[in-house]
Amino acid sequence: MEKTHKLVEQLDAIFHPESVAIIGLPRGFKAGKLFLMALLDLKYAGRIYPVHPKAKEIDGLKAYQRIDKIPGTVDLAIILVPHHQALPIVKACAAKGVKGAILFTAGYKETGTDEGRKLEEALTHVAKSSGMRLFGPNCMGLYVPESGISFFPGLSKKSGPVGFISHSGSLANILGRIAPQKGIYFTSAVSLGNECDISSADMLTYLGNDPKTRVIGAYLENIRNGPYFLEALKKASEKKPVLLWKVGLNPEGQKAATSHTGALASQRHIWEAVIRQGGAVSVKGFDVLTDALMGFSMLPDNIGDRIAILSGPGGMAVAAAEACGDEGLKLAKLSDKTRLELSDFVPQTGTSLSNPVDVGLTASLEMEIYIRAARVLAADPGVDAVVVIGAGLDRETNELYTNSMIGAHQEFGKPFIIVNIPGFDSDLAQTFCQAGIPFFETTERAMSVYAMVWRYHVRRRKKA
Amino acid sequence: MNILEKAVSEKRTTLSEYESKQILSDYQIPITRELLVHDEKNLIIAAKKIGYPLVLKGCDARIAHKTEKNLIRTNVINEKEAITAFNDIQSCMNKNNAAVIVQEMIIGKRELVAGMIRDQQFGPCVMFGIGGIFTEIFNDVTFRIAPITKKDALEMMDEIRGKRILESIRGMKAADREQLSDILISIGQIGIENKMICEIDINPIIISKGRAVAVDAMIVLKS
Repeated sequence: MEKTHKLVEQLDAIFHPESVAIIGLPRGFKAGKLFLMALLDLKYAGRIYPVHPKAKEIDGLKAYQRIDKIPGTVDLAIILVPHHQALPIVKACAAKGVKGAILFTAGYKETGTDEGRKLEEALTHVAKSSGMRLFGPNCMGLYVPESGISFFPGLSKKSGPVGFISHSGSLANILGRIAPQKGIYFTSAVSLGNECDISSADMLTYLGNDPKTRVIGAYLENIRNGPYFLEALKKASEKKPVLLWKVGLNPEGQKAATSHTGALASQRHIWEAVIRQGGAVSVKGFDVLTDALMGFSMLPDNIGDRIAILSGPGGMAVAAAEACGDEGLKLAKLSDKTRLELSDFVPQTGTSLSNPVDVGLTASLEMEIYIRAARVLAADPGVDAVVVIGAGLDRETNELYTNSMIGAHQEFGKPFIIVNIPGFDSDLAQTFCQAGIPFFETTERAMSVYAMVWRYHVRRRKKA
Repeated sequence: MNILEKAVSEKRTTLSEYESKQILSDYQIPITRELLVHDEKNLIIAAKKIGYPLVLKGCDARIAHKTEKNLIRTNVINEKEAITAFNDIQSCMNKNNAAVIVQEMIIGKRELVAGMIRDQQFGPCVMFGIGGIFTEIFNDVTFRIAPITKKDALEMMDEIRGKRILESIRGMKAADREQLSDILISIGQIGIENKMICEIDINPIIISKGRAVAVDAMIVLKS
């Protein structure tokens, strides 16, 4: 408990630094410059200290020859020097009282060489003996919009409910870049690299205890300490949904075994055990990860399983109903009142007034039909969520559609889920997401994520 | 010196069926009643003690697949058959005084598998699933990281595709889930308490009148 408290306190200070040193910041436009650009882009309000052996000034900022020459304290150090120069610098940072250091450079344990492994062990030793925490090596570090800290320029300045852990810096960056399109915003995202000190389990502990983080997502390659990871996962999952995407589960990695049990024990089986015992949600692939982060960020805790489907295209209505059943959700039984009201304005031919409600082709021309139908369905007390598959034929109609659905969602306070009809304006799709309405590419993806969120909350309620 | 220490001191990487089941039994996992014999005289005594019908099996830690080596005789119903079976098995083993297990014959159609594997990252993991000849065919198994709770064990039984095998079907009694969960919890415990064991394989566990019995088992040690 005390250990957890200390870790949370340490990471909290590192995630909210009052000063950042960038050691080995290049003068010209080289990759390392991105780390400064990222801070400037997010309007980091603290002090930035470039450290360079020769430069007096870099991009208008006073540069220091060595970290110990910096007046005042340094909370966070970003270390960009080549791997064979890193160790004395890490030691100097620890001596300076730096709270956390990010090691961008590769060339350690991941190379598989003895030299790399030894260098990394030496780094670990510095971290363990000094109290300074290390991220990496071979990592991008931190993105904390609230603090104005970022590992790459061009990420959103807006904060949100998602805490993200990644063993890949590029993946964290790509997720960060597309996230606003999906209405996904972060408390923090962290690229961990080789985990010579701070591990994914540490991050689960930190994010699990962070009151602003409501959803945790992770992309994982290797778990370093299984029992600690499982323990941290259990604790985090008790507090909030934890979505895990694990790679490296193919049978290629399986070793020859003597017994049946050994032969049957694939990495996938073991990982499934971790997911179940840890109470986590398994997500596979980038699309599922982003869909799920969107769903868990936006859908409320108390969602139900009675779904109303509203569609113009008949085939998509049927496919949505099928997906609904496949995921263990129910088609809501519409009340007589609802059906009577629908019959008032939905054309009689080529349509259906039972769930899924098929409003037919006319609705694309007369957007009012979609809008009224959505409102009638949302008002039905037997409906827990409304899935809308719709679009108009021009920009203006699509704007009306978007604004009206957002309005209905806000007025009735029920989850709305919008499914794309190819050709729909992508900026309007984003408008939905910004309004807290998840927008999915297909009904199958929509129903899969809705069911994932629903199952998670049902399981959690059972536990409580 | 106990079984494990002895095997380690002999630099062996597997325990025989008999030794493996002794360890299971130490952890209250129900095993077949059985005796180990090396000659005809003791065979007759053992057969009387266990009672017919019997199963006779050649017992050698170096032989992992007894069926392929023709070392198993089932439904042995009298002394004459027992002697014939015993001599047959010993001749297949190419060794005078080779050990033969005299075992009670468990009658039951439902065969399960349970076991343990030591994962590099997560340590001992408990397995449960469909056993017997279908183990590899269906690959219908599920795992948990040890130690496991009773809730974990019960969930495992509900996770396999063939979970209906545990229900009351075709006039057979439902499997005793409480007893099965005790077995799974114990398997995890063996893994936690004995670092030199890297794999346990109990296959089959036969459900007989609703009760589970470990009929064959193998324990693999760290090499």
